[in-house]
Amino acid sequence: MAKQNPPTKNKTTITGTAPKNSTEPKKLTPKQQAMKRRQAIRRRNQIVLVGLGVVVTAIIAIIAIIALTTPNSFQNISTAANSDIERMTIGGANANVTLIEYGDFRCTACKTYFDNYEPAIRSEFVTTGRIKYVFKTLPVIDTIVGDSDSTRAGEALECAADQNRGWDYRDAAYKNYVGEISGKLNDKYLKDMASAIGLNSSQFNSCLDSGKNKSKLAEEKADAASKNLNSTPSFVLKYSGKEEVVTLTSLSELQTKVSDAVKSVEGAAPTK
Amino acid sequence: MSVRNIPSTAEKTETKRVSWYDIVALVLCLTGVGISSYLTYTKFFNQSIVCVEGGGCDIVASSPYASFVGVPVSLLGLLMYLTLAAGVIARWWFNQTNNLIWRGRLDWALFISSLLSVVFSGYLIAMSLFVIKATCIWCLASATTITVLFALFAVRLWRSVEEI
Repeated sequence: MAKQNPPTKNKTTITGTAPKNSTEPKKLTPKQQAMKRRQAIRRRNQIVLVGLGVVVTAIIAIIAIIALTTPNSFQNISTAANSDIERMTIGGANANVTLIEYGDFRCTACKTYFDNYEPAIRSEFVTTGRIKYVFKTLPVIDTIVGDSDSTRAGEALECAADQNRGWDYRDAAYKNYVGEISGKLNDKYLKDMASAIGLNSSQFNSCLDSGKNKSKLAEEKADAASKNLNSTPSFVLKYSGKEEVVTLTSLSELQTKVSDAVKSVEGAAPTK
Repeated sequence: MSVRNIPSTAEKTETKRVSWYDIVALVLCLTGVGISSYLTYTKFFNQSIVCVEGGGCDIVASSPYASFVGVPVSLLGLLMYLTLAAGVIARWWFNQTNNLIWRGRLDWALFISSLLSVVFSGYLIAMSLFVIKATCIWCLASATTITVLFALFAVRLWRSVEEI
């Protein structure tokens, strides 16, 4: 019946809607047909626009979600734990000379020192146990850039030190130096780096989130201010009951200064 | 007269045939459900994936890109195919009951959700080809399925304009 071919004329369709290719064209005036065509074009434009909108939105959303959730990748990271001998300290436990570095993870000169001058000092005095080497954060780049990323990185460093891996974290930070104004040294980066070196992530993350080491950073800043240190890297040598700020015209002089201190304590010329 | 023109539900159901769009769409959705269920199963039970010789199904499935925001993408796919299947059935039902407003809304919903899936699928395939550099026949099959589904939904939405 009506199920088969569309009715020829007077009968309305069983579904109540006008079937295609039936008497419809006869009913519509040219004006109505033109209106219908315009309406169809408008609706199809709508489909195309919505489709494009969905595609663009989806692409942006995917990129944003990936950027926010993908862990940062780090270079030259070893998960082998090198525990600090004391808090933020490496070297000889019984050494009578202590070298204290005041650094900032974003400072370019610190990175230069780390790459070019520190290896010699570490091989000659630290791995041989002749000095203790302490690192403290002095967030000078915060003042220059006007943010608090270096301070936050210092807090993260203290969280790593809570797990006796402060120096591993500090080394990873310099090996993966992010520059002064890249904005990359955010909480996610700091947490990803902790995970990359094999720290207990949940402990580290809750430490950083709680801000429990803010006071330590404030103490370190006050300590640096009391010594009139306002640039990084700055160094202080402690030996024979005295504490002296190392004045350098070039970073290459540091090795000699350390050598002199060690020599004076050991009473004999060490090396070089 | 007017009584004659308003059909009873029984009459309507009798006269409306299931279109081939619905059948093909439902078959494709169920194909997608099958593929993604299998991949979800292998993911949660740490099973090796049956793969073509030289294929990198396990490499792709164990890569970081096999999860999105911590959720396995196979599970996301399964949920999407189930949603689309429910949408196809609901759309068929609204068509049967002559609820044109909801039928139209479902046409749009199916179009948009399948388009989103195609974009996401495209991202996954791009990652597997250019980043992981391994191909997974199941992933390609799923990508093809969702692309054909999208084409179906798009054509149906496009053609629905003629019914204005």
